[in-house]
Amino acid sequence: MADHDTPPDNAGSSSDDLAALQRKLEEARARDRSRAPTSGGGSGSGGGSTAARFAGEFGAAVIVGGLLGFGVDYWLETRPWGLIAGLGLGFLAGVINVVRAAQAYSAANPVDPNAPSVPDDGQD
Amino acid sequence: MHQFEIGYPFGQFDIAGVPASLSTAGIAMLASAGLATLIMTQAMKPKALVPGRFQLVAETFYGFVHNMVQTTTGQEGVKKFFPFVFSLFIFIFAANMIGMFPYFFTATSHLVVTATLALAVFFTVIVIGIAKNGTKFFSLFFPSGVPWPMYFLLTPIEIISFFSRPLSHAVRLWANIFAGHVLSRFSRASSR
Repeated sequence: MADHDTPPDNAGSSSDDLAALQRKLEEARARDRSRAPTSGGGSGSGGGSTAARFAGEFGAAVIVGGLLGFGVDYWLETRPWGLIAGLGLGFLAGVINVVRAAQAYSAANPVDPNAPSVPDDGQD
Repeated sequence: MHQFEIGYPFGQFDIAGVPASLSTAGIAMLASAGLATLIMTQAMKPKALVPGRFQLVAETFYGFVHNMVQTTTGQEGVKKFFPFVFSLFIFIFAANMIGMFPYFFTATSHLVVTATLALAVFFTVIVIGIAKNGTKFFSLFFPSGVPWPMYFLLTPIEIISFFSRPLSHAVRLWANIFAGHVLSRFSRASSR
């Protein structure tokens, strides 16, 4: 009996089908959009490259600070104060570099608001 | 390790007192530049509306880099910086891929090569920054919205942070490639 009802229903519902398809498409696009930032963060190797990047930012600033301090020492003959001050400033610059890199990373990879606050470790 | 040693297959010679011999590193870089050019031009030759396999690869690369540059430099900047960034990307990619083959040389596993690429980017930033913003470019070293005594501390920090960028860029690529090749060499040595 229900099968008899479908032909007249079907004839009028081709636009309904289109609407349903449109809705599905919109849903899929929204899903894709919400997923894009997390997968597009360049973290293909599970965050290891991001960690190496932060370490590099920090170390590079310390090295450059020390070198600049040593250069000041060399020209002004104030050994060892330029190196000491340069290493200290390089340390600060390194921390600032890491904070900036982390902020850029967070802006590019927003946290999923529906994610649990503590990841499930399967222990309870 | 043998794979990181630079060889001179055509011998060493000078032209007018300048060393001009072609090393394995030079060959690898020429090969990656040539390979990148060849693959991109050949892949885009059909210019099909529905891309074939090679054209799809080329368009994926193009789209990936285009998106990346567009998010950082905006609609206007992507027109100016895209050729440079894409050349850099495809050159590094080709150099890394050539290095994957046994007995081939990996140009990016040497700090000189990555440092040169990083310095190229660094000087591009300085030249274009000064050309576009004039002396306002140096306000990079004087962050706004701080009381003036803080400049004695903040300006050196900003300068160090600015000059540490090329080093960080160079070391990142070099360390990744170098560590990868050393690791694969170790795994081969221990399985013998």
